[in-house]
Amino acid sequence: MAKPEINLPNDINAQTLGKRRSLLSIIVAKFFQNKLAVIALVVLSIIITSAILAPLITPHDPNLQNLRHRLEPPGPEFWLGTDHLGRDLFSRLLYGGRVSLTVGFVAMIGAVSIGTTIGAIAGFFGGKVDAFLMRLVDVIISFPNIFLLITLVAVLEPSMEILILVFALLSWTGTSRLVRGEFLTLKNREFVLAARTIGMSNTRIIFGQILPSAMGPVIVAATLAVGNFILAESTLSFLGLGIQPPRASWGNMLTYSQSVTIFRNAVWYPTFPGLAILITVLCFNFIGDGLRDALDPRIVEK
Amino acid sequence: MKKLLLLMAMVLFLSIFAVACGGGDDAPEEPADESPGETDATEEDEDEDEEEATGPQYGGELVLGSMSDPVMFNPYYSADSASADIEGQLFNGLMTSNTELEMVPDLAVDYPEVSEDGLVWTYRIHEGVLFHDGVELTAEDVVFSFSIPIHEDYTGPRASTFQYLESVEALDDYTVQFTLSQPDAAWPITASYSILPKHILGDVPIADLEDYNEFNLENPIGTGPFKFAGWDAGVSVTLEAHEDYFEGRPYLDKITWRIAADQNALVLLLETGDVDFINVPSSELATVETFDHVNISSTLALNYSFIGWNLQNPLFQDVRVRQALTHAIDRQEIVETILEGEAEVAHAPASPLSWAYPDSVPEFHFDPDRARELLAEAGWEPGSDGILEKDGERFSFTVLSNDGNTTRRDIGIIMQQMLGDVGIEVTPEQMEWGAFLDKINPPNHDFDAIILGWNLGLDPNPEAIWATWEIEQGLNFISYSNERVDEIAKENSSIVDQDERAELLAEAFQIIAEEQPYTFLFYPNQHLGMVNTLGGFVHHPRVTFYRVNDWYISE
Amino acid sequence: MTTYIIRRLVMMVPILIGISILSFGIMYAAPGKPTVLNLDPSISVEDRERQMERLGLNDPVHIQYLRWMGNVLQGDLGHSFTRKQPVTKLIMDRLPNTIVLMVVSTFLAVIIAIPFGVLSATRQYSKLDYGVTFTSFIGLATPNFWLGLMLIMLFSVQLGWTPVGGVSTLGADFNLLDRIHHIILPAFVLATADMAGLTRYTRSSMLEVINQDYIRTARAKGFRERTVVYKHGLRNGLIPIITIFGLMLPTFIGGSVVVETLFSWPGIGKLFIDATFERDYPVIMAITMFAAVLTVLGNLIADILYAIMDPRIEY
Repeated sequence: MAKPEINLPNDINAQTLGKRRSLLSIIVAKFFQNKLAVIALVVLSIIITSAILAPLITPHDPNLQNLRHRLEPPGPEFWLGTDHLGRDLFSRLLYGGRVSLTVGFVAMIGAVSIGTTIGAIAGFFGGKVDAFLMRLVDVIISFPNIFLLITLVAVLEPSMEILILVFALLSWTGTSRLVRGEFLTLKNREFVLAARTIGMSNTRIIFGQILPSAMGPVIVAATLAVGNFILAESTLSFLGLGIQPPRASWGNMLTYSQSVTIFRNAVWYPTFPGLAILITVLCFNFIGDGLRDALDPRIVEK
Repeated sequence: MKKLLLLMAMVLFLSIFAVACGGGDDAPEEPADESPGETDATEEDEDEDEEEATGPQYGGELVLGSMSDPVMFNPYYSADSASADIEGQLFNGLMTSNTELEMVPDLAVDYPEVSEDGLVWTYRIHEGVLFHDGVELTAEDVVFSFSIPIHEDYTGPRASTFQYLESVEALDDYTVQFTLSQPDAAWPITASYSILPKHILGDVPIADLEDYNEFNLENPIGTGPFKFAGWDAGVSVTLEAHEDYFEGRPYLDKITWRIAADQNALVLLLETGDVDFINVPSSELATVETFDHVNISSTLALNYSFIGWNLQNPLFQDVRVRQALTHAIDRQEIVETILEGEAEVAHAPASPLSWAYPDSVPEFHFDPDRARELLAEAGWEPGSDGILEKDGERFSFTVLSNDGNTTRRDIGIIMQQMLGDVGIEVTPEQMEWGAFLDKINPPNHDFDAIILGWNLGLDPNPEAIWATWEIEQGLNFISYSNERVDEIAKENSSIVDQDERAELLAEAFQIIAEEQPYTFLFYPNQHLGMVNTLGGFVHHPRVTFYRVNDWYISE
Repeated sequence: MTTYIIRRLVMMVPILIGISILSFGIMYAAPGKPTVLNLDPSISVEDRERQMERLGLNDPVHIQYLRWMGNVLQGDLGHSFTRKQPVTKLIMDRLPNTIVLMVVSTFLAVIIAIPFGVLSATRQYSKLDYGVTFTSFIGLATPNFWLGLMLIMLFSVQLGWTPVGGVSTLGADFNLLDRIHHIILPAFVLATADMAGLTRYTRSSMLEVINQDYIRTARAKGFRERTVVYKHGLRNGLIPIITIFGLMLPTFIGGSVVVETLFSWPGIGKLFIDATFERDYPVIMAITMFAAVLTVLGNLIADILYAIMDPRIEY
């Protein structure tokens, strides 16, 4: 019979494809079992979408001051009230979200790229390269982070770009250790040996073979990192070193509302940016947690 | 952190003083705030007053709010305001300033005798003035103190203040004579520097005095109404009444400066009663007004805020452009909103509190149409994006202010909008204080426009800020230069007659107001919040803790 | 083990030197001179130049670094530019406050986090578990300074339960209750993030242990659930938690900057940020190095504890 011979490759294809799909679908299914993570994903999508669509949604120019309408309570004209210069808080919140989320995401991408590359190189090549890179990681990890941040940001004059750069340059060490660890265990596995045997280049082995298998924990760490960067920006704002006005960020909006008089007479002003940070960071953490569980083969959800 | 910075950065200190003695000034009377004891506040004969039940009474303590640790307690070396506040209670000088900003005798018995040529000044000092350790102050102590900053080994930052002092000698135990190398209008104010005890510091080499911590930090001894009792780093500084103070024992037993991290903390501490006296920023005034146990005293502070245009930048070299910029900024609106109405719009580089404040100066009120006209005259036409253009260059610049000062930050943001309306693109930028100063000071002059304030000295001499030769020295960082103003700057300090000098100064102020190298913003009010049991308080426009020996707590 | 520790300690040296060179370089690249030099514009250019010379700021950076390093090796951290005091004294005046704050907030984090973490694990997927999880996530997501000011407004101003700030009642003699009264709020705010992290960590560590074979065996043998969890589970579940204390150390120092500012707590975090703005180089360097040493030591302690706990680790 000729039929099976013809069908055989198809079958194999179908099988492997099916297997992959099922692995992914297991992960997805596990993730969707985690209610908090799913809710967080939905809320975060809304937040991100509205930040992206800010110019279409916002009723006012976020930087337009209306000095005769300072610290107005929420109402039909200003949905979430106004700030101390009479700017519409709702509009500023959306535009501020763009800045805060950009800082979080771009810094995360930077940190993860650096960390993955260095971790992969160290883990794959081992030996002196590994020793050198890991000493570098030791130095950066031992740097008291906030002190270095304060000094660096003060030196470089705070702007969004500088903040992103500094965050990325200081935060890749965790990822690199993770990736290195994964590489150390994975590089002697059969599939890597197989790839080597068929003469695949190091680059292809690193990026094509090992890395995808090592990405799980990195994705989790990256998700959590975005939230942490958003928080870090707000802390630096509080210390006078965050995103500079008039550009809004959640951090500087929250900082400018830190006055006893505003807390008493216009409590909505500190509340909304505070909630925006809280909810967003919360979402990232829940999603990260959900991903961790979903990606961890040991955990079987009920 | 940045709150400390805010304190320092509030105003650049301008301590170029000059003579203001002799009356004839029309400074506004301080509104009496509450106390019946206030009337005798400026008299000096209360040592044996029998007080009535309602009057001042002895005893009690007061906690004063502060935002930073002092550096040291030696006025010849310290340069920060927290130290100065405390030094003011620990030491006396020969002269001191009163609420009308005149120099009046303190340790000196009377005004000094001045020689015909203005070079020799003779002061007679009180007898029986005791240091905190019981030793009597004599002319030798005065000679010792004034010898410090003119000594060749002196390491402190005040050498230039004393540059015209040639020698000082004791004629007898209670008479001191100063000889100047040239007439110095600022001398009477320089003569108010503190007297330190020779019997304690006399043996310390002048080169080591700056680091002589046994005195400077641990046990300063002066003749002031309060003596040093303790300093808990970062927490508080405590002073106790000097029983033998030469004007009589202060009413209060003890005063303590409590150091809080920021303005919010101070306001809350005042509310909870942990602190009795704070400096209230206009932004928190509304809250402090709701405290039942607190009175607020407000007065015009001796300073003004401004936007400085860098005259090295071609954008700002045309006087019509600068006038237009002022026309385009609604300062009244800024005063009424950002400052909650607690300020007066300024038009000249002098304070209305000063005798030298001119009767009239050119004023440039808010008038965007006039601004557009002037800009058009100067050749600026709207470009395709609405921003003014001239010879292909867009009218676009950055306005810099120092980080931590919220008022200036907000003014920058408002400016962006107001100037945007007449077609000028402004980018507000805030910079951390150290970097800010580095940028604006010579030799960099690297800025377009800045928002800043001047804390004025007692003397209205415009030299330090406006004279051409000061461009290289630092204070004239906008590089203003005008021949007539230079002449006046040179001449005025040698004119003894105040009216004559005022007339000359008015001319300079009018020229400057006409040329608008600054857009003068406002004269802010200063607010002090204090417990309503505090009596004897008098609001001095420059000295927050003024004659604390007259303060008392009534039950 | 001993050789491992010694090797690690020796390795600290190049790390610390690396940190010192980096921070020195960054600091000196900063625009702006020490503020003491331009705080008061009436100080003339000549006077200012004399001060620069006196502080040795006119020398090339590497000379200044070597001089600084030389002094540090002799135990001299230098003199503060701004405060005219030896840096050692400035730090020693404030260090006890920071340490007390750190110790108390660690304590708070532990006594709150561990019980809740354990409960959360033993009753996985219960309402309590969700509640604890949710609360600790909120703790992780709240900006510290916002929480701090809210709590001050609530507890200190509205309710009048706690003082607005400071270490103790002014002028009062030492009184333990008074100290506790003052420290409770700042310590709590400082502890929030770590408390939340620690709860999460305890929970997962306990979960892992509970699902181990020996626990199942214990259960199968018919021990009471409580005995199983608290006797067998807790002991083994807590072991890895101890190791993370070392890692918590540096986060406390970082957090102290914000908390000390909010609560007027005179510690080194506050000193550091003041010094940064004043460009008070000797103070900045001293505190950075101090924090670096703590961080390195914290990592080392964590590794050593981990090594002791887990026999599988080789050296």
